[in-house]
Amino acid sequence: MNKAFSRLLVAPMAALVLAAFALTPVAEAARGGGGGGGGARAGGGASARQVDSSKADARSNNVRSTSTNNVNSNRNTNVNVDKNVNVNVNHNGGWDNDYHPVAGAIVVGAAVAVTAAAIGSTVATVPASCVPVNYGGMVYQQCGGTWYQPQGPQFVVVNPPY
Amino acid sequence: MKLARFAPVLLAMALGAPLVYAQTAPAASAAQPPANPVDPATIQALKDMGAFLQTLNRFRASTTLTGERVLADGQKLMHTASATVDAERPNKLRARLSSARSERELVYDGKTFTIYFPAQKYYSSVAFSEPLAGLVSKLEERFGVQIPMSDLFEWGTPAAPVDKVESAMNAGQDFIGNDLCDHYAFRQGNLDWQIWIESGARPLPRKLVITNRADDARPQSVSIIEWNLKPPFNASSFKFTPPKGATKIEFVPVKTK
Repeated sequence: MNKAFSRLLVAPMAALVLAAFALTPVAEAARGGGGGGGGARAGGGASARQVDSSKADARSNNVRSTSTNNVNSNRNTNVNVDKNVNVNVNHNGGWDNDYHPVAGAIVVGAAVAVTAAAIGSTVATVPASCVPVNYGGMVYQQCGGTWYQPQGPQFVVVNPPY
Repeated sequence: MKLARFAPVLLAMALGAPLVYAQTAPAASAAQPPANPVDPATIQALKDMGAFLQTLNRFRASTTLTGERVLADGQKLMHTASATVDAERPNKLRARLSSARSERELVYDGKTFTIYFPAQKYYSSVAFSEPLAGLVSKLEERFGVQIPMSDLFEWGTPAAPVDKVESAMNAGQDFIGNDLCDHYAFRQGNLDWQIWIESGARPLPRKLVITNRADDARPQSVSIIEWNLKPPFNASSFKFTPPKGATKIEFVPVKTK
């Protein structure tokens, strides 16, 4: 399994860094008005500082499995169970580790190449025609065949989550 | 090492009874398993904790979680997250989840479940009517959304069957913070897990460690749980009112390919 990944992984992922979209309103939200007032973060408690993981090595996002957080659920914590096309129904390890797996994205991208924009590339804003959706407790922007995830103030192109 | 392992076989061959000896030798050298790997008193402690949890009508539980993710080559990275869950039985819940990657709020008033993303000011709502244990399992099954410390709602219910435990043992006592706790260890399926239950009149889970054996690297999570059994919330705490400027987005069910 790992070997197959490694071969596919050489690709253009250097630019890709997932993380960092924690606390600052993204461009989309800011445009929509409001700009994330204090009430919006009622429970937060966390500081207003924003995580910047732009220097993180691409390897740090190539996740094959995660720990599990509960004893009684049947959640499948193997992120990349099927290395070919099916990336994972249970795509995150739990509430603590909320992200779209890059390894899976690369594999699917290489195999199917359904998106117009390069997987892993980032943009400052998404087209006005994009539709935000919540899948698996994560926010995506769907723009035709291209999917984005918010990443700090930017958006990263990811593979279709479904 | 190899020589040592084969030595009995060679000896047996020399004695002219290779088949018989080769078959019996491993059994003779294997460690004797305990008569019953599931200690009944440990299972009883788990049941007592579950029963006590089910008696709590209102509580606030806060956790700091350390989790691990395994990279392609088996190297592990560690991350942390925190959450606070306010619960009122049978069917009210509010949770705040915080990690470096995202912050979310979950709100359930017994009729509608809402997830809110403060950074984007997006929210999604869906109708539910289950009590909390049912919400936990249905939400994960239908939407892939996990409620922090979901075990708290399942222990002491049929959703947490103790007969799935393959091994259970008492691991002695330990302190969590200033409180004396009983430490127990379990094996079931691909999970090894340990729990620290407060000793005395309040058998509350105070620490939970889960080792995922499905991966050779055995990623592990550690959750420390703090309790407030006289929580400050009230009925309005479980009502979601979209903040000004918030946008409702579609709540897409989990899809299988």
